[in-house]
Amino acid sequence: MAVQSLNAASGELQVTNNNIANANTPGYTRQVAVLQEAAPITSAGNIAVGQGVQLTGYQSVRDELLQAQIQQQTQAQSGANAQLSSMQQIQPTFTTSTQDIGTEMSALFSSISSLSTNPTSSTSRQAVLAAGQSLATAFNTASSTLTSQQATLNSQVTQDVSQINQLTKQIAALNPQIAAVKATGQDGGALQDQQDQLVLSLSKITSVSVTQTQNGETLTTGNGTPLVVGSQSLALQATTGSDGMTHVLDRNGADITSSLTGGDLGGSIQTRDQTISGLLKQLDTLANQFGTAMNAAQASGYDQNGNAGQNLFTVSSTVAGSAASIKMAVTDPALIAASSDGSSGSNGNLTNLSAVQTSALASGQTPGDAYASLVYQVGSLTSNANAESTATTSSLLQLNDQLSSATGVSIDEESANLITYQQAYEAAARVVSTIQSLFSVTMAMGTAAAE
Amino acid sequence: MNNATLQSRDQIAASYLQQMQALAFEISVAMDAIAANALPKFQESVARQEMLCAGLASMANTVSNGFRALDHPLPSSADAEIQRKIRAASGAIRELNLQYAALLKHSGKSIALLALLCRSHQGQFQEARGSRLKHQTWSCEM
Repeated sequence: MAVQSLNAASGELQVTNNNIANANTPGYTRQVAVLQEAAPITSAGNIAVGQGVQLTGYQSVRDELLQAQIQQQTQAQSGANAQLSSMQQIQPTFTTSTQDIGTEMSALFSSISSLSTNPTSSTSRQAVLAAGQSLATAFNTASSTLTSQQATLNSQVTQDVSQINQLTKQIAALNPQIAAVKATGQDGGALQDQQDQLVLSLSKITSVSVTQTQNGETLTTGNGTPLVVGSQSLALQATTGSDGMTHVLDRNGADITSSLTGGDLGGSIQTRDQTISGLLKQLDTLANQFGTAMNAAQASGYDQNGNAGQNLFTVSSTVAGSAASIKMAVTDPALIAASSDGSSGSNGNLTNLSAVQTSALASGQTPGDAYASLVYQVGSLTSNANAESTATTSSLLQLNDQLSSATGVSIDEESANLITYQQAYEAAARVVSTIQSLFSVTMAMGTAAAE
Repeated sequence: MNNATLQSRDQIAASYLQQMQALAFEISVAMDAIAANALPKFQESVARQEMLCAGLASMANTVSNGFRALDHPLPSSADAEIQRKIRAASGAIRELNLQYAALLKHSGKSIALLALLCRSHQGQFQEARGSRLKHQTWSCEM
């Protein structure tokens, strides 16, 4: 019994030692020794003596529900961070600055207003052309910012898919190892810790669903595409689609891009295909309708040579790509159609050109309002992503604290326990001494009686 | 020695034996508690051991003097039986007490070391060198 008890006590201490040594190890789950009490026996003198306890193994303290919540929040946090990161790259282009679309648009109408006071001034005409060119450049820059961000996200998608494949391979390799350890009746805590960490890393990339089976953990994406089944990992593929975007295919070649949610991959895809695409569409619409409206106003007047006004801007025939391709169609200041009657001194048509600023475009908004709406959306999307990121970070922190208190190692707690143990041991040592002295007296009484 | 004295002495001896058995049981409970890391159970058991030891110490001299007072004729068969039981119980407790002392010594030393480690733990974790080794080591002076 003493040997069993010593072994058990030694096992407990080993666990405590291991817990303390791993107090700062990320993902380490506190272990406890599993002890089984043996049935007592009756020895000489009718004394019932316990047979002590046996150390049957070690078990990690786990909270599956908290683990699942942490995985879920990690996915949400990574997704929000991916969106926030992209929006932070985009936002400066759409804020009021010296070169943004709104400022350049105001500058163009201001130059048209200046020209109306002296319609024959070549300097004023040149200023209108320069302002028009700056506005076109602002449209080009904004479009370029959005498309380059999409390109960055394309690379991110490829990188994420590669990481998913690496992680699922490692997770699948651990499944049979864990099953083998469990088959021997042991806990497999260290291997399970490794697998949990890998699943958590995977959750940062995409939404995953974890199911415990006899063959270990089965992992699927949020839409049910299998990633790990037993010891087998099912790799995803990244490929460039006809739209120029990187698409994600499952092992059978089916396109699962739009169904991927959560995590860095889900956040990147959502930002690329929904947020940025939406902004780009609005920007293209504004550029196309604005250019068309200015061209229409120009066409209603006459240039300095008395000819009908030519297009002021070159605008794409389709809305898509308009912001990227818009440019000034005229380079000669004399071609600005300021005149309403063909005479060189007339400024009648400048009123029509100026009116574009306050007239509703086909979208129903004035150019200024349409741009302000775009700026508001970018700001709102950035704020939302920021709020989501902050909220999920706080939530994750709280969940990790909960998990840590349930499964983590508290040095203070271990230390306090040990001190209490020491005090109890001192009291027990005094009992041992007392029993020794009692033993002498008792043996003496037997001897005296036998004489 | 009259019958009443003998009866009283026998009763004390029986009570003494009973308390010895209780003490032996408590020692085994305490050893199990140590092994099971059940601190409250261990503390309760030690408290009961202290009470039993105090009771036994006060009875020991009475019982011993009672046996010494026995001269001729030889003690009755009942006396002999209870003495045999007391001696057997005493031997069992002696053996158990040795195991208990060994367990306390062994486990106490380990706990003292761990308590020292815990006290010295504060910001002393260090990450192992090398790109592949990411486990942390913890060192302290003893």
